[in-house]
Amino acid sequence: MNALMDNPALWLTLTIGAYLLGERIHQHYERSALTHPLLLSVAMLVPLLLASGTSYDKYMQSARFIHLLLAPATVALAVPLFANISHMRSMLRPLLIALLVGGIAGIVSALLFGRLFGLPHDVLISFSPKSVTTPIAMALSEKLGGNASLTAAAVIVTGILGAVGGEQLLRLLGIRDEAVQGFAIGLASHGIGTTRALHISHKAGAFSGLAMSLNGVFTSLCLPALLAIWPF
Amino acid sequence: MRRDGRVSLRQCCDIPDRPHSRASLCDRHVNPGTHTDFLTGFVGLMAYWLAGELLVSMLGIGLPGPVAGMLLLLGVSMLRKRVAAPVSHASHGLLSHLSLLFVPAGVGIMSQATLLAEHGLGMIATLVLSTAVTLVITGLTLKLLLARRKPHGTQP
Repeated sequence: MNALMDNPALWLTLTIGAYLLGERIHQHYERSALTHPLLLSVAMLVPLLLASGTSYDKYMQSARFIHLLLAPATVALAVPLFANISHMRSMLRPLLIALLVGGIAGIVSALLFGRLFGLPHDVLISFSPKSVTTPIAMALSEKLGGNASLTAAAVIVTGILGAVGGEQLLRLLGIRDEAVQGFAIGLASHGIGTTRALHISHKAGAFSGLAMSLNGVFTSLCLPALLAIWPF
Repeated sequence: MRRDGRVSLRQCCDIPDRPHSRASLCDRHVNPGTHTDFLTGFVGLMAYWLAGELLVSMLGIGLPGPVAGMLLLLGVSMLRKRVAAPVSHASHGLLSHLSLLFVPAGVGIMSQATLLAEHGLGMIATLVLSTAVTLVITGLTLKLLLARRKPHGTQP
Protein backbone atom coordinates (compact mmCIF):
# COMPACT_ATOMS: atom_id res chain seq x y z
CA MET A 1 0.00 0.00 0.00
CA ASN A 2 2.81 2.40 0.91
CA ALA A 3 4.47 1.74 -2.44
CA LEU A 4 1.22 2.76 -4.13
CA MET A 5 1.02 6.01 -2.14
CA ASP A 6 4.29 7.16 -3.70
CA ASN A 7 3.31 6.21 -7.23
CA PRO A 8 2.09 9.11 -9.39
CA ALA A 9 -0.41 6.72 -11.01
CA LEU A 10 -2.52 6.65 -7.82
CA TRP A 11 -3.59 10.30 -7.64
CA LEU A 12 -3.66 10.72 -11.41
CA THR A 13 -6.11 7.83 -11.67
CA LEU A 14 -8.19 9.05 -8.74
CA THR A 15 -8.30 12.60 -10.15
CA ILE A 16 -9.52 11.51 -13.58
CA GLY A 17 -11.85 8.93 -12.01
CA ALA A 18 -13.38 11.52 -9.68
CA TYR A 19 -13.85 13.90 -12.60
CA LEU A 20 -15.55 11.25 -14.75
CA LEU A 21 -17.85 10.29 -11.85
CA GLY A 22 -18.63 13.99 -11.30
CA GLU A 23 -19.39 14.36 -15.00
CA ARG A 24 -21.83 11.38 -14.79
CA ILE A 25 -23.63 12.91 -11.82
CA HIS A 26 -23.68 16.29 -13.59
CA GLN A 27 -25.35 14.69 -16.61
CA HIS A 28 -27.82 12.84 -14.40
CA TYR A 29 -28.99 16.17 -12.93
CA GLU A 30 -29.51 17.65 -16.42
CA ARG A 31 -26.22 19.59 -16.25
CA SER A 32 -27.41 21.81 -13.39
CA ALA A 33 -24.72 24.34 -12.42
CA LEU A 34 -25.01 23.18 -8.80
CA THR A 35 -23.58 19.79 -9.77
CA HIS A 36 -20.59 21.17 -11.72
CA PRO A 37 -18.07 18.31 -12.14
CA LEU A 38 -15.23 20.43 -10.75
CA LEU A 39 -17.19 21.05 -7.56
CA LEU A 40 -18.02 17.36 -7.23
CA SER A 41 -14.52 16.05 -7.97
CA VAL A 42 -12.91 18.43 -5.47
CA ALA A 43 -15.52 17.35 -2.89
CA MET A 44 -14.54 13.71 -3.56
CA LEU A 45 -10.75 14.18 -3.63
CA VAL A 46 -10.22 16.44 -0.60
CA PRO A 47 -11.65 13.92 1.93
CA LEU A 48 -9.55 11.17 0.30
CA LEU A 49 -6.39 13.27 0.63
CA LEU A 50 -7.17 14.21 4.23
CA ALA A 51 -8.03 10.62 5.19
CA SER A 52 -4.81 9.27 3.67
CA GLY A 53 -2.72 12.05 5.22
CA THR A 54 -1.51 13.21 1.81
CA SER A 55 -0.45 16.86 1.63
CA TYR A 56 -1.45 19.10 -1.27
CA ASP A 57 2.19 19.39 -2.36
CA LYS A 58 2.48 15.63 -2.45
CA TYR A 59 -0.77 15.37 -4.44
CA MET A 60 0.44 18.03 -6.86
CA GLN A 61 3.58 15.99 -7.63
CA SER A 62 1.40 13.63 -9.64
CA ALA A 63 -1.53 15.93 -10.48
CA ARG A 64 0.75 18.53 -12.09
CA PHE A 65 0.74 16.43 -15.26
CA ILE A 66 -2.94 17.37 -15.66
CA HIS A 67 -2.36 20.92 -14.44
CA LEU A 68 0.31 21.49 -17.11
CA LEU A 69 -2.22 20.95 -19.92
CA LEU A 70 -3.99 24.15 -18.86
CA ALA A 71 -1.50 26.26 -20.83
CA PRO A 72 -2.13 24.73 -24.29
CA ALA A 73 -5.87 24.62 -23.43
CA THR A 74 -5.76 28.37 -22.82
CA VAL A 75 -4.16 28.90 -26.24
CA ALA A 76 -6.92 26.68 -27.69
CA LEU A 77 -9.59 29.15 -26.49
CA ALA A 78 -8.65 31.25 -29.54
CA VAL A 79 -10.50 28.75 -31.77
CA PRO A 80 -14.04 29.23 -30.35
CA LEU A 81 -13.33 32.97 -29.96
CA PHE A 82 -12.44 33.22 -33.64
CA ALA A 83 -15.66 31.40 -34.61
CA ASN A 84 -17.74 33.68 -32.37
CA ILE A 85 -16.20 36.90 -33.64
CA SER A 86 -16.87 35.94 -37.27
CA HIS A 87 -20.53 35.34 -36.45
CA MET A 88 -21.14 38.62 -34.64
CA ARG A 89 -19.22 41.05 -36.84
CA SER A 90 -22.34 43.08 -37.77
CA MET A 91 -23.01 44.22 -34.21
CA LEU A 92 -19.52 44.12 -32.79
CA ARG A 93 -19.42 47.83 -31.85
CA PRO A 94 -22.21 47.93 -29.22
CA LEU A 95 -20.96 44.58 -27.93
CA LEU A 96 -17.44 45.93 -27.50
CA ILE A 97 -18.69 48.98 -25.58
CA ALA A 98 -20.78 46.71 -23.32
CA LEU A 99 -17.67 44.56 -22.87
CA LEU A 100 -15.59 47.54 -21.82
CA VAL A 101 -18.17 48.75 -19.29
CA GLY A 102 -19.12 45.29 -18.00
CA GLY A 103 -15.57 43.97 -17.88
CA ILE A 104 -14.40 46.88 -15.74
CA ALA A 105 -17.53 46.59 -13.56
CA GLY A 106 -16.67 42.93 -12.93
CA ILE A 107 -13.16 43.69 -11.71
CA VAL A 108 -13.87 46.91 -9.79
CA SER A 109 -16.97 45.53 -8.03
CA ALA A 110 -14.98 42.51 -6.80
CA LEU A 111 -12.20 44.77 -5.48
CA LEU A 112 -14.62 47.22 -3.83
CA PHE A 113 -16.94 44.67 -2.19
CA GLY A 114 -13.94 42.58 -1.12
CA ARG A 115 -12.45 45.65 0.52
CA LEU A 116 -15.81 46.44 2.17
CA PHE A 117 -15.95 42.94 3.69
CA GLY A 118 -12.34 43.20 4.94
CA LEU A 119 -10.78 40.52 2.71
CA PRO A 120 -6.95 40.35 2.75
CA HIS A 121 -5.08 41.88 -0.18
CA ASP A 122 -4.02 38.60 -1.83
CA VAL A 123 -7.65 37.42 -1.70
CA LEU A 124 -8.69 40.61 -3.51
CA ILE A 125 -6.12 39.92 -6.23
CA SER A 126 -7.28 36.31 -6.47
CA PHE A 127 -10.92 37.40 -6.78
CA SER A 128 -10.41 40.22 -9.30
CA PRO A 129 -10.49 37.97 -12.44
CA LYS A 130 -13.46 35.94 -11.09
CA SER A 131 -15.75 36.64 -14.09
CA VAL A 132 -13.27 35.20 -16.58
CA THR A 133 -13.03 31.61 -17.77
CA THR A 134 -10.98 29.51 -15.30
CA PRO A 135 -7.69 28.96 -17.25
CA ILE A 136 -7.27 32.67 -17.99
CA ALA A 137 -8.33 33.67 -14.47
CA MET A 138 -5.86 31.29 -12.86
CA ALA A 139 -2.99 32.37 -15.10
CA LEU A 140 -3.72 36.03 -14.33
CA SER A 141 -4.01 35.41 -10.60
CA GLU A 142 -0.69 33.55 -10.45
CA LYS A 143 1.06 36.21 -12.50
CA LEU A 144 -0.31 39.11 -10.42
CA GLY A 145 0.45 37.65 -6.98
CA GLY A 146 -2.84 35.93 -6.15
CA ASN A 147 -3.55 32.32 -5.27
CA ALA A 148 -4.61 30.11 -8.19
CA SER A 149 -6.65 27.73 -6.00
CA LEU A 150 -8.65 30.58 -4.46
CA THR A 151 -9.20 31.98 -7.94
CA ALA A 152 -10.44 28.63 -9.25
CA ALA A 153 -12.93 28.48 -6.35
CA ALA A 154 -14.07 32.09 -6.87
CA VAL A 155 -14.52 31.54 -10.61
CA ILE A 156 -16.64 28.41 -10.12
CA VAL A 157 -18.83 30.06 -7.46
CA THR A 158 -19.28 33.12 -9.72
CA GLY A 159 -20.23 30.85 -12.60
CA ILE A 160 -22.82 29.01 -10.53
CA LEU A 161 -24.29 32.28 -9.19
CA GLY A 162 -24.71 33.73 -12.67
CA ALA A 163 -26.11 30.48 -14.03
CA VAL A 164 -28.61 29.99 -11.23
CA GLY A 165 -29.79 33.60 -10.73
CA GLY A 166 -28.70 35.56 -13.80
CA GLU A 167 -31.75 35.17 -16.00
CA GLN A 168 -34.21 36.05 -13.20
CA LEU A 169 -32.19 39.11 -12.16
CA LEU A 170 -32.08 40.42 -15.75
CA ARG A 171 -35.82 39.78 -16.26
CA LEU A 172 -36.50 41.69 -13.04
CA LEU A 173 -34.83 44.71 -14.69
CA GLY A 174 -36.99 44.32 -17.80
CA ILE A 175 -34.23 42.85 -19.96
CA ARG A 176 -36.04 40.35 -22.21
CA ASP A 177 -33.84 40.39 -25.33
CA GLU A 178 -32.18 36.95 -25.40
CA ALA A 179 -29.03 38.37 -27.00
CA VAL A 180 -28.62 40.84 -24.12
CA GLN A 181 -29.39 38.20 -21.48
CA GLY A 182 -26.85 35.83 -23.01
CA PHE A 183 -24.15 38.48 -23.36
CA ALA A 184 -24.53 39.65 -19.74
CA ILE A 185 -24.55 36.10 -18.36
CA GLY A 186 -21.49 35.06 -20.41
CA LEU A 187 -19.54 38.18 -19.48
CA ALA A 188 -20.29 37.86 -15.75
CA SER A 189 -20.10 34.08 -15.39
CA HIS A 190 -18.09 32.57 -18.28
CA GLY A 191 -18.53 28.91 -19.31
CA ILE A 192 -20.85 27.84 -16.51
CA GLY A 193 -23.15 30.76 -17.32
CA THR A 194 -22.91 29.89 -21.01
CA THR A 195 -24.15 26.35 -20.33
CA ARG A 196 -27.19 27.92 -18.69
CA ALA A 197 -27.63 30.49 -21.51
CA LEU A 198 -27.79 27.64 -24.04
CA HIS A 199 -30.90 26.49 -22.13
CA ILE A 200 -32.57 29.90 -22.68
CA SER A 201 -32.04 29.65 -26.44
CA HIS A 202 -29.39 29.00 -29.04
CA LYS A 203 -29.10 32.75 -29.64
CA ALA A 204 -28.54 33.47 -25.94
CA GLY A 205 -25.92 30.71 -25.85
CA ALA A 206 -24.01 32.11 -28.82
CA PHE A 207 -23.91 35.63 -27.35
CA SER A 208 -22.91 34.19 -24.00
CA GLY A 209 -20.01 32.27 -25.56
CA LEU A 210 -18.89 35.40 -27.37
CA ALA A 211 -19.06 37.53 -24.20
CA MET A 212 -17.11 34.91 -22.28
CA SER A 213 -14.29 34.84 -24.85
CA LEU A 214 -14.18 38.62 -25.26
CA ASN A 215 -14.07 39.20 -21.52
CA GLY A 216 -11.23 36.70 -21.19
CA VAL A 217 -9.17 38.77 -23.61
CA PHE A 218 -10.29 42.13 -22.22
CA THR A 219 -9.66 41.26 -18.56
CA SER A 220 -6.23 39.79 -19.25
CA LEU A 221 -5.20 42.99 -21.03
CA CYS A 222 -6.79 45.42 -18.58
CA LEU A 223 -6.36 43.74 -15.16
CA PRO A 224 -2.55 44.13 -14.86
CA ALA A 225 -2.84 47.83 -15.71
CA LEU A 226 -5.84 48.38 -13.45
CA LEU A 227 -4.19 46.72 -10.45
CA ALA A 228 -1.05 48.84 -11.01
CA ILE A 229 -3.07 52.06 -10.56
CA TRP A 230 -5.57 50.69 -8.00
CA PRO A 231 -5.37 53.03 -4.97
CA PHE A 232 -6.35 50.60 -2.15
CA MET B 1 -15.84 20.28 -36.30
CA ARG B 2 -16.27 20.74 -40.01
CA ARG B 3 -13.78 19.38 -42.52
CA ASP B 4 -12.66 22.88 -43.57
CA GLY B 5 -11.31 23.43 -40.10
CA ARG B 6 -13.89 26.00 -39.07
CA VAL B 7 -15.76 25.48 -35.86
CA SER B 8 -19.49 25.38 -35.36
CA LEU B 9 -21.45 27.68 -33.08
CA ARG B 10 -21.94 24.84 -30.63
CA GLN B 11 -18.24 25.06 -29.87
CA CYS B 12 -18.59 28.63 -28.68
CA CYS B 13 -17.96 27.77 -25.06
CA ASP B 14 -15.80 25.62 -22.84
CA ILE B 15 -18.54 23.24 -21.84
CA PRO B 16 -17.15 19.75 -21.50
CA ASP B 17 -18.56 16.72 -23.24
CA ARG B 18 -21.18 18.01 -25.62
CA PRO B 19 -22.90 15.29 -27.65
CA HIS B 20 -20.69 15.65 -30.73
CA SER B 21 -17.44 15.15 -28.80
CA ARG B 22 -18.28 11.45 -28.82
CA ALA B 23 -18.90 11.59 -32.55
CA SER B 24 -15.46 13.12 -33.17
CA LEU B 25 -13.93 10.30 -31.15
CA CYS B 26 -15.54 7.85 -33.59
CA ASP B 27 -14.17 9.89 -36.50
CA ARG B 28 -10.69 9.23 -35.23
CA HIS B 29 -11.27 5.49 -35.34
CA VAL B 30 -12.59 5.69 -38.87
CA ASN B 31 -9.80 7.86 -40.17
CA PRO B 32 -6.34 6.93 -38.82
CA GLY B 33 -4.85 10.06 -40.43
CA THR B 34 -6.38 12.25 -37.74
CA HIS B 35 -4.16 10.64 -35.07
CA THR B 36 -1.18 12.53 -36.46
CA ASP B 37 -3.52 15.50 -36.94
CA PHE B 38 -4.06 15.71 -33.19
CA LEU B 39 -0.33 15.65 -32.45
CA THR B 40 0.37 18.24 -35.16
CA GLY B 41 -2.33 20.49 -33.75
CA PHE B 42 -1.11 19.95 -30.18
CA VAL B 43 2.44 20.88 -31.12
CA GLY B 44 0.98 23.94 -32.88
CA LEU B 45 -0.74 25.01 -29.65
CA MET B 46 2.49 24.45 -27.70
CA ALA B 47 4.38 26.57 -30.23
CA TYR B 48 1.89 29.44 -29.75
CA TRP B 49 2.29 29.05 -25.99
CA LEU B 50 6.10 29.31 -26.35
CA ALA B 51 5.80 32.28 -28.69
CA GLY B 52 3.46 33.90 -26.15
CA GLU B 53 5.96 33.38 -23.30
CA LEU B 54 8.73 34.81 -25.48
CA LEU B 55 6.65 37.87 -26.42
CA VAL B 56 5.68 38.54 -22.81
CA SER B 57 9.25 38.33 -21.52
CA MET B 58 10.53 40.51 -24.37
CA LEU B 59 7.90 43.19 -23.76
CA GLY B 60 8.08 42.81 -19.98
CA ILE B 61 4.28 42.97 -19.58
CA GLY B 62 2.06 41.36 -16.92
CA LEU B 63 0.14 39.20 -19.39
CA PRO B 64 0.35 35.41 -18.76
CA GLY B 65 2.27 33.59 -21.54
CA PRO B 66 -0.57 31.19 -22.47
CA VAL B 67 -2.98 34.14 -22.83
CA ALA B 68 -0.48 35.93 -25.08
CA GLY B 69 -0.27 32.69 -27.08
CA MET B 70 -4.07 32.68 -27.41
CA LEU B 71 -4.02 36.27 -28.69
CA LEU B 72 -1.31 35.37 -31.20
CA LEU B 73 -3.32 32.40 -32.49
CA LEU B 74 -6.43 34.60 -32.69
CA GLY B 75 -4.51 37.29 -34.60
CA VAL B 76 -3.03 34.80 -37.07
CA SER B 77 -6.45 33.15 -37.57
CA MET B 78 -8.09 36.51 -38.25
CA LEU B 79 -5.40 37.42 -40.80
CA ARG B 80 -5.71 34.04 -42.56
CA LYS B 81 -9.51 34.11 -42.06
CA ARG B 82 -9.45 30.48 -40.87
CA VAL B 83 -8.02 28.16 -38.22
CA ALA B 84 -5.73 25.37 -39.44
CA ALA B 85 -7.63 22.05 -39.27
CA PRO B 86 -5.14 20.21 -36.98
CA VAL B 87 -5.10 23.12 -34.50
CA SER B 88 -8.88 23.22 -34.53
CA HIS B 89 -8.97 19.45 -33.98
CA ALA B 90 -6.51 19.53 -31.06
CA SER B 91 -8.28 22.53 -29.52
CA HIS B 92 -11.56 20.71 -29.53
CA GLY B 93 -9.94 17.70 -27.89
CA LEU B 94 -8.43 19.81 -25.10
CA LEU B 95 -11.50 21.98 -24.55
CA SER B 96 -14.02 19.13 -24.46
CA HIS B 97 -12.78 18.13 -20.99
CA LEU B 98 -11.50 21.49 -19.85
CA SER B 99 -13.00 21.15 -16.35
CA LEU B 100 -10.74 18.16 -15.63
CA LEU B 101 -7.70 20.42 -16.02
CA PHE B 102 -8.89 22.67 -13.15
CA VAL B 103 -9.26 19.81 -10.66
CA PRO B 104 -5.63 19.83 -9.38
CA ALA B 105 -5.83 23.58 -8.70
CA GLY B 106 -9.35 23.22 -7.29
CA VAL B 107 -8.14 20.65 -4.75
CA GLY B 108 -5.72 23.33 -3.51
CA ILE B 109 -8.63 24.89 -1.66
CA MET B 110 -7.86 22.27 1.06
CA SER B 111 -4.81 24.24 2.12
CA GLN B 112 -6.92 27.41 2.57
CA ALA B 113 -9.03 26.09 5.49
CA THR B 114 -7.99 28.82 7.98
CA LEU B 115 -8.62 31.57 5.45
CA LEU B 116 -12.06 30.14 4.62
CA ALA B 117 -12.98 29.84 8.30
CA GLU B 118 -12.04 33.46 8.91
CA HIS B 119 -13.26 35.15 5.72
CA GLY B 120 -15.67 32.62 4.15
CA LEU B 121 -18.80 34.75 4.64
CA GLY B 122 -17.14 37.90 3.33
CA MET B 123 -15.90 35.98 0.31
CA ILE B 124 -19.37 34.65 -0.54
CA ALA B 125 -20.93 38.10 -0.02
CA THR B 126 -18.29 39.67 -2.28
CA LEU B 127 -18.90 37.13 -5.04
CA VAL B 128 -22.72 37.38 -4.85
CA LEU B 129 -22.78 41.19 -4.95
CA SER B 130 -20.03 41.53 -7.54
CA THR B 131 -21.66 38.98 -9.87
CA ALA B 132 -25.04 40.75 -9.55
CA VAL B 133 -23.49 44.17 -10.25
CA THR B 134 -21.60 42.83 -13.29
CA LEU B 135 -24.75 41.22 -14.73
CA VAL B 136 -26.87 44.33 -14.19
CA ILE B 137 -24.36 46.86 -15.55
CA THR B 138 -23.55 44.74 -18.63
CA GLY B 139 -27.22 43.99 -19.35
CA LEU B 140 -28.39 47.59 -18.98
CA THR B 141 -25.50 48.99 -21.05
CA LEU B 142 -26.10 46.62 -23.96
CA LYS B 143 -29.89 47.11 -23.80
CA LEU B 144 -29.41 50.89 -23.98
CA LEU B 145 -26.93 50.68 -26.87
CA LEU B 146 -29.13 48.34 -28.91
CA ALA B 147 -32.23 50.47 -28.28
CA ARG B 148 -30.36 53.50 -29.67
CA ARG B 149 -29.33 51.52 -32.75
CA LYS B 150 -32.79 50.18 -33.69
CA PRO B 151 -34.31 53.46 -35.07
CA HIS B 152 -31.54 53.56 -37.68
CA GLY B 153 -32.75 50.26 -39.06
CA THR B 154 -29.61 48.27 -38.28
CA GLN B 155 -29.78 44.56 -37.62
CA PRO B 156 -30.49 43.81 -33.98
